[in-house]
Amino acid sequence: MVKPLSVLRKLVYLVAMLCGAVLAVTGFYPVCVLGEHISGYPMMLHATCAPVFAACMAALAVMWAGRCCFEDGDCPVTKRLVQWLTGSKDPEQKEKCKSSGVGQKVFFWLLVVLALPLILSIVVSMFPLLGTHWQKVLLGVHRYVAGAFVVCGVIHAFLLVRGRAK
Amino acid sequence: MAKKLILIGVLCLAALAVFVRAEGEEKKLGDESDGSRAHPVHLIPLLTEEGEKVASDDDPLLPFSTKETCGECHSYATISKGWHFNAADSDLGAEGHGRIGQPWILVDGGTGLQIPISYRPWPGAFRPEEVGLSSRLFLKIFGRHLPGGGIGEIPSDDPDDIMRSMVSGYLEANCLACHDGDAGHNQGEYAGQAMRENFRWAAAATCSFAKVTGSAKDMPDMYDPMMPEAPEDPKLVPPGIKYGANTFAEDGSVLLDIQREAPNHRCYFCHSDLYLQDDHAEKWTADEDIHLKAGMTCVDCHRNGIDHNIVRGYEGEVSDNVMAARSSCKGCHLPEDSLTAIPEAGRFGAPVPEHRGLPPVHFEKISCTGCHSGPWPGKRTYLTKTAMAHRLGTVGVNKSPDALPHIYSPAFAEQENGQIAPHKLIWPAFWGDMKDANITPVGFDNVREIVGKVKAPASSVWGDADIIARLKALAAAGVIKGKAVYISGGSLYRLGDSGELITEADHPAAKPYMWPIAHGVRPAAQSLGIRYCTDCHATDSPFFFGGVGVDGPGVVIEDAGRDMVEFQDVDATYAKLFAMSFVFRTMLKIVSLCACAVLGLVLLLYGLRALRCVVRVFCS
Repeated sequence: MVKPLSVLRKLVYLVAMLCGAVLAVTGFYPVCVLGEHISGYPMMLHATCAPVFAACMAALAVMWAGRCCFEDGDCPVTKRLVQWLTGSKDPEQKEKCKSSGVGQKVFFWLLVVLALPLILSIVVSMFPLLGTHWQKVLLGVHRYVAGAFVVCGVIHAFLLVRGRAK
Repeated sequence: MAKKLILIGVLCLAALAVFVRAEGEEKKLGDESDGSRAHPVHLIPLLTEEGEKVASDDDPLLPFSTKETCGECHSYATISKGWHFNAADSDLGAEGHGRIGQPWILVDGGTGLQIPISYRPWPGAFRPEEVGLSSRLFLKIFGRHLPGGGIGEIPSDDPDDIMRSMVSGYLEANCLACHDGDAGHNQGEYAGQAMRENFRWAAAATCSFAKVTGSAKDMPDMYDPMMPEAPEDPKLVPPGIKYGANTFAEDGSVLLDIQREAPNHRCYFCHSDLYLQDDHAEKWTADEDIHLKAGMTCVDCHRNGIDHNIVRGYEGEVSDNVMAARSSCKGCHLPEDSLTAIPEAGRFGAPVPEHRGLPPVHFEKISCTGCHSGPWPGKRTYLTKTAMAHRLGTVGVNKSPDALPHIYSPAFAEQENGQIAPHKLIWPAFWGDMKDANITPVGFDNVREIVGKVKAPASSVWGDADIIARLKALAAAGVIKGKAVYISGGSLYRLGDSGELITEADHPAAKPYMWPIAHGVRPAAQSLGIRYCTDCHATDSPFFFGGVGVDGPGVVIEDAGRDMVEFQDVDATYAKLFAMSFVFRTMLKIVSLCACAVLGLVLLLYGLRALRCVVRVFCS
């Protein structure tokens, strides 16, 4: 039997993927290919998909955060580092990584962390708070964080698909 | 012997050439400042155009010549190449004439004329000779607001005009138009003198100490002002001048109140605007430019040296004037990006604008004047009067709000550099000769002779029959080589094969002439967008969807449906959709901020849990 929460999670993830793709294309194509600011219909599409994407990100964070907590055996290297720092010994020092989804978890949390400056940088600029200089800084932050976000998103999706395939 | 003579001749010519060159380059007393900011006193002799000193007991009394009087200490040849005098200078090139500006507008309500003309090669403006105006006729009509010089001094090729020039003289560069600080200076008198063809007397007539009477246009071609004879007709008064009793000092000098920096009210004579808004139709109800109210003067920004190459002050101005780049909006208000350069911004205490919440893309798409200059836009453009177009400040001016020409503003249109800026706009109206796709205006004299004689319509608005009658009259007169057409209100009117009137809307030859508005600058608190984005991004915002007035003499087009957006490089549907999207802008902000709050809470919650785990590990 298919769990409703699982279906919802997938649906939200798909919507987020779709909106993310539209945002990436409409955001990067004018800047990277045409060498101009985003404007016109791409701008409108970008602004339309952005709140949907932000809502999906928030929903995914809530729904996936519990599953993406790091566990005891996720990363032996970290564990050994902690043991070395605390001076404790562990009989299973040669233990290998138990979890195959650690990469997914890392990139999930990276996405959640990056989503905050990504959204805030543009929302804050919509309020009459900051002058032209800081507007440009925020636009730069939005642009570079978006680049990092897209890279993380692609890797996360790749790891997710690979994990499912195994 | 012959060889010796030739050698002497060659040597003399060479010496003369060197002498002429040296004289051309020689700086005169007033060409270069010694650095003192004090005003030099101009207690000087007045000189006639022959270079003779004017004395109160001269017979006949002649007007003083600015060329000779001022030229004694200032290089007139250099000055008369300056911006206000060089419109007809063909050596200047398109770049030298700079950004498109206000044309002269030839108006004749009776024949339905409203033609933008200029000696400058600005697109959309006709050269005066194209509409049948000789330089003399041009001076007679527009000399009222000309500073003289340039076309006023270029000898005509026409023998009749040459003869008339002997009578009326030339319209020399009128230094006093800008530099006379005397409270009794009357520039309106200059306008009257130009209309009476008293070109030689025009500058002197503006002085408080001189009185000019008579009219050169009434004098016969053989009239000699140097040896005047009473005209046969006793009603006609020959041009003459009288100087006030206390004008001349003992040594024959005259005290002129010359201001190095031209006072604002001198500039205003030619550069005044009146926007006929519903609630600001009177001058006293509208504010002046914020810079002037802050205590600045026109020439604080519009500066020049002895070459009178005055700064126009627009962005990207190509000029030899070293102050040009520093005198634009950005030049004064925005600090340089480079920290190593000497700071030049902030002159006169110009505040650095913050533009809080304004996306930087606006600075690429819109000029500074787009939000800060001209009247606050309404649902429709306002009928606008300008000094140069409506003879403001002269005697007997038509004060009717409907007085021709019909100039509309502010029209937000794309300017040459691709930015949207407020413009003044006029729809050309003229009778033309159409051959293939080319339309040339019919000469002014022919239009008055042929079209002007057709029976006047009952109302001020022409019907089809009125236009048909005039087109037929033009076609029958034999002055048209192709088809007779009438351009007005953005449309072309011509006769069909069976004599019916055919109207071609939006004809390229009928497109409006627009020139950017620079003043009056409004303060930041009254700039577009100060309230919210919807000052411009609303479905009914004047910036995109304000109606642009469309009409011409005799042709009134009610609700022509020309939105501002049609004059911008913006898709109208997109502009509408984008404006509609601002309805959801608040929702976008709320959703995005809520999403950020949830993301922040998740990070905080799981971050704390992670911290607890780490602490536990370290503790155990």
